[in-house]
Amino acid sequence: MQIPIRMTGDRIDEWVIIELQGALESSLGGDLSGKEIGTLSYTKEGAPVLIVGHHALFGKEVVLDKPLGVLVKKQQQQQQESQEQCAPAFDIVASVKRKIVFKSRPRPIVTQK
Amino acid sequence: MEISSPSTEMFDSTARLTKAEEYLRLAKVDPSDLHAETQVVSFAAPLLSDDYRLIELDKHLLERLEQGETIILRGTENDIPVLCTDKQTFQVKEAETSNALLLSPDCHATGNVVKEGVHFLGACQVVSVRSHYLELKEVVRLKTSRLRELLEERPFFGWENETDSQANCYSIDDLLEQVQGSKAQLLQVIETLPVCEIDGKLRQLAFEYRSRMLADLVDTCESGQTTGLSEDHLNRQAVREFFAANKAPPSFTDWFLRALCTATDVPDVLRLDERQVCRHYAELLLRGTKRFNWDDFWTAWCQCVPVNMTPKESFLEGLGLIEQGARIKTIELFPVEDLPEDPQERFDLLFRRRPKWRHADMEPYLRDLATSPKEIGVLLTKFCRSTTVGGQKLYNSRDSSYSA
Repeated sequence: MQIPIRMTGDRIDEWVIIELQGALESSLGGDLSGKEIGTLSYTKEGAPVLIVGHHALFGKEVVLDKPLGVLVKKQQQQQQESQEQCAPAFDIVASVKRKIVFKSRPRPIVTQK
Repeated sequence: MEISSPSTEMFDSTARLTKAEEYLRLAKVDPSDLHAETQVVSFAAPLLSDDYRLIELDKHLLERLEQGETIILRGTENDIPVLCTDKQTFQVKEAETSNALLLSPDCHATGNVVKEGVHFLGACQVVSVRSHYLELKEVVRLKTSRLRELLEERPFFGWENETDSQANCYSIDDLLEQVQGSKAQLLQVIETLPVCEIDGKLRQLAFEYRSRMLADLVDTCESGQTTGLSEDHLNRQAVREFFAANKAPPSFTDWFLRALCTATDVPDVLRLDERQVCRHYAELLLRGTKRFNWDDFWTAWCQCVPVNMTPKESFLEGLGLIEQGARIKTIELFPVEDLPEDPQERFDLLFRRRPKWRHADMEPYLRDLATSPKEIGVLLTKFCRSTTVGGQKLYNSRDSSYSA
């Protein structure tokens, strides 16, 4: 079996990865669709700060040793000649060359309320 | 880590920014120390996380993809898949991280975040959360057992034995559907096999067919009746015409010249390769008998090789196994091509066959597993124990059930 991986269009966009320790949970439970994660700011020195709920996370931007490809599986319709209806293929929709990593312990934010 | 649910405040961008900056101040970050753009990071709706997979590529692979090349995953359902360019093969394995990797198409990083001007609230989306990614490990030496099996399904025995059926005949593209490797590496392996292309299919040349053709050519050379055909002086065109007259496929000549001849100083003139031709005759004899008395074998071998050739024991490396018993010396067919490719399985089989081996005897049966003598040394250290008996180093299995 042969499954091709190729670029669609004429370029591969560059995406970004935000890396967080552990897993993410929603305070409401269930589906994460559309939910806000937090806000991302950058200090003038280039340090990223992520506010998630009542925590502040301080991180850094890292260039990946090896870039990542982002693949999306796609079922293609073959034209009349082929006996197969669908031949699986992967599109490489993006590459990731850098990530924003938050590894230090979150600093809790105590509000007045 | 908890994510807050959307509240009415979020829809008012100014209020949201104010809240974000309030939190930053509480976290001891002065907003005036920040670049202008703060981004609200949200999950996409709908969130189709599992649609996306991450694969570690090296820089060159990514460049090739960016230039529009296609790379191909090959393997059957039961295989560990491999990723192939036209020249390289990589084994694909899934790796896991304990961290969450949030994939964002539009998040601004330090390179493109808006730095100057009034502080404002931007937005970006996370389309997938991943904790697994695919890792690649280059495969320099392809496994050849499946390729050999496929080629052995329908060897070529000569036109008189061919039928119209194309069943079990494979072109290079047919082979790529089933064998795990890049096209270039596959063709390199095929060059080392007695295979040639006939009517677009890659066909294994049956041993008896090769024998017949070689014997006919040697007879013609020894009779001296044809110009351009003597054992030391084979004119390329004369060889081509000879085999054509013998109804061999055109590509047979290419194989013959490559596998059984060597070049001379004169262009387009080759000679029969003594080692390869003698090995062929040794194989012919050994295939006929299970175990040969050495003296009988030697006599027969000397008689059947071409007149100007002299057999040498070293020609039998990786082909025949010589047993020096207390009173009797024998030889039997033991080709390296028939041995397992997995190193542990190979050593197990070798030690079942013979509990202790000298380095010189074992080495020809390990050459195809390594790319240098140093690598062979590594394999021996890893899979064998050694003892020294009478000044001679002997290798035996690490598994005590194989002791003599």
